[in-house]
Amino acid sequence: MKSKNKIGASFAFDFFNVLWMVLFALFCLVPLVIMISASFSSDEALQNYGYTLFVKDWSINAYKVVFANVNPLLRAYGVSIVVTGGGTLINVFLTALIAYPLSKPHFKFKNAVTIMLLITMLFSPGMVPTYILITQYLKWKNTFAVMIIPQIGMTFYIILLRTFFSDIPKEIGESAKMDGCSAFREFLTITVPLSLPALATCSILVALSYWNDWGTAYLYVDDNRMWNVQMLMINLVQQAQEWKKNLGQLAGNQSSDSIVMATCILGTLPIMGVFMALQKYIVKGMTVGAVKG
Amino acid sequence: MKRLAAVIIAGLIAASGVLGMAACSGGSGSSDTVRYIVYTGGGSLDGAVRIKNKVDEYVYEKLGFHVELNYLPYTEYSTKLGLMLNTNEYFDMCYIGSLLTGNPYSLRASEGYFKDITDDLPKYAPDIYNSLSADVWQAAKVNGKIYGVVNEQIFARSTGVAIDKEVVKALRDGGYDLSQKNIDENGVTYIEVINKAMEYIKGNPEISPNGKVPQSTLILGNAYDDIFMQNYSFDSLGTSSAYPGVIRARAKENVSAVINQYETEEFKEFVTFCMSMHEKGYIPDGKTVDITENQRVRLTGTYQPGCESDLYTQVGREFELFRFGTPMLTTNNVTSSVTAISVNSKNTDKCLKLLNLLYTDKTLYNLLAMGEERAEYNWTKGEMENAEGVMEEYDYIEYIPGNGYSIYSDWAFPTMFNAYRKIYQPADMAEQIRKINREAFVSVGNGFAFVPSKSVAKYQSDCGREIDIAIKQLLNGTFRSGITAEEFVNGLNEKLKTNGLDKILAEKQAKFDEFLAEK
Repeated sequence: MKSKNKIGASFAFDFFNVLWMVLFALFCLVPLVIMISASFSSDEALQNYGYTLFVKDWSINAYKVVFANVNPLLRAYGVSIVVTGGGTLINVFLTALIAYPLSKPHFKFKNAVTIMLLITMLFSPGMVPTYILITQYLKWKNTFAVMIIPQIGMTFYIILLRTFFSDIPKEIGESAKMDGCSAFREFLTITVPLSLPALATCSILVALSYWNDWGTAYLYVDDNRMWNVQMLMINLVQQAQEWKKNLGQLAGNQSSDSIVMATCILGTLPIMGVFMALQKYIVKGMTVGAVKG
Repeated sequence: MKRLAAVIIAGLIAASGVLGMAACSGGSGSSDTVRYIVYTGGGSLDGAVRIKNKVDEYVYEKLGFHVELNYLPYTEYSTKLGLMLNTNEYFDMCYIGSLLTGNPYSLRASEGYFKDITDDLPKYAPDIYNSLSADVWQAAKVNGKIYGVVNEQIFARSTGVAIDKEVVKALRDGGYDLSQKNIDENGVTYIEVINKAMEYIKGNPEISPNGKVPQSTLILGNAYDDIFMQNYSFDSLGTSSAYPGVIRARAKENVSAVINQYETEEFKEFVTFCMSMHEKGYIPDGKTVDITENQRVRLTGTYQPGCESDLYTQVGREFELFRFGTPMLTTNNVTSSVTAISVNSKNTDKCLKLLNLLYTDKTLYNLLAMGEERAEYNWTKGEMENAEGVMEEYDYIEYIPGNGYSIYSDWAFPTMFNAYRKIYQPADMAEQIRKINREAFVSVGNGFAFVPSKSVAKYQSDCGREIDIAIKQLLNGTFRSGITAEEFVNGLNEKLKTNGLDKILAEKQAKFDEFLAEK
């Protein structure tokens, strides 16, 4: 009787678990599907049926319009790629350099540094002081620096890497030292190659965070030549009518909504591709240190 | 290995250097450069650098100093300007307006963010100062001092309704006397005219197949200001028009009484009108898509001769414009577009000289507002009826589609009457608008801007939130099905009362009485 109850409870748990996950997946997917559907819908279909899950009347006019005025999008892609690529490289390298000494048991200031790092996780300096620091002291307005540097050394990634580095058997490092290896060489030739899954996880998360960051550009970038993809999309969504007006006859009767949706699809595709190709590392890296062997 | 380490560290230092050098492009105050924050209404800024350089060259040649333009799109303008003001970031002058959410001109001026230019204005910008009337400068005063240069446009506002010329013709052919003369002489209301036009549109199968009015044929979007406040001549005394507390500017008695506009018969009439537009199916429900090309009845923000030109550019068909009510000057109407000089600026004289040049020099104004000939626009010839009803040829500018510079904010510079003529704009548009401004009725509240105490500001913001929800429901048609106008109005007023309505009205009245006593 007891085991029957157990089987029933387990089935109910699995059922609701799967149901919840399916619902959550739909919650995430439906807006994306509607976005794709609207971008491929004709003007008449949008007028008559509004946003729908499936395309009622196919049209690629919205994409034709976007590609007719592709310069802003290409430039924004360029900015996003430089910031995401360059930022991720610098960010992950420096984060690993901070995490490495913290993973060493003999490092004297390990606890003090860790507490200092944790404080930055709990307390934020606030928008106005940050704005004053960046615009009046560092003078980083309208620069790549403001889009890259403030995100470097995030505590979460430092702790993730520190945990992974700590799991590397210390005997490997000790034997290398006996052969005359310096600490930096040990970091580069032993720790880094053995920590590739954790570094890959960090890289993907950092890259996603750089790619999706519109807040920094919104606050600190006034020059439209420095807009990243997210900033361009925000402006397009908010100014669709004016943007369409500027295109004049190029836009024809195409609804500004479908033009905006097409631009959003083009802005989202690259990072979606990267995420889908590398997402297995995220799961792997997130469970780093979860089970001690 | 040491070499490898050195290479990596050198690489990082070089990267920091590049980022740092890039950082050097920001600038602080300089005595030979005016840093001007320009408001843009959307569109393309691809060619902004070219225009910035041309404007700088032109100004240097004429006035002997440099100008650095800093464009901010309207979608982020208020947030960014607010941050710049609150953090004391250096700039010389900026666009600001009475209706700029979070940063209204009077409030920011009273908080000390802008320079008092009462004495410098006639000295360094005499053309602007002498061209605008005393009533206009009175509106720009905060605590008796002028803190901003008013940008000349239509100041005297009244309700403007534009109707597709084909619809107007059909109504006239059907025997309905749709004319400004009939509206003025017989007191025809906006309710009657819009109903007549929409009735025809709904019944015309070529426009509305199967009796279904297409999406966006009529948009009520800003009807609260465009119709309610302007048509019924309420003056919100320098605060956002949505906040409770207005005067009936044209009342014959008790004109200075601050009342709750949401408890008036006029508001009930407005609510009934909006609800009926949805209930009659003139505004279809459930679709989220806005199709500008479908518009046939349009609220124009205010009655402004020449706005048919913008409508033609946006919608692609000709409109005829009708005015309801008579134009009125209020603090809000005048200060809706102002250029103010930062209190930190070291260049007050240069800022005013530059604004004066923009006011008097058509070439500079059009370069800044419209861009360059053959890059942003071309001159072309057209034909239109003149004031005497005779067809005549005229020159106008036509935008080049996909051009690199379209900021749609010609009204945010010292005078929009410097703008080159556009399609279907009457030759004497500037004169017509200046005449309306000159002859307008001046509200007794002109020059007063209510700045609430901290506690009342909180009540005002709480009430504003409730009003915002209710007005959006009304205009978007998302009000509860079956609710009557009376129930809707009563429901809103109950919420306002629990959110401190009486305290707002009492403080507004007390401060307004003080202003009238000092006047």
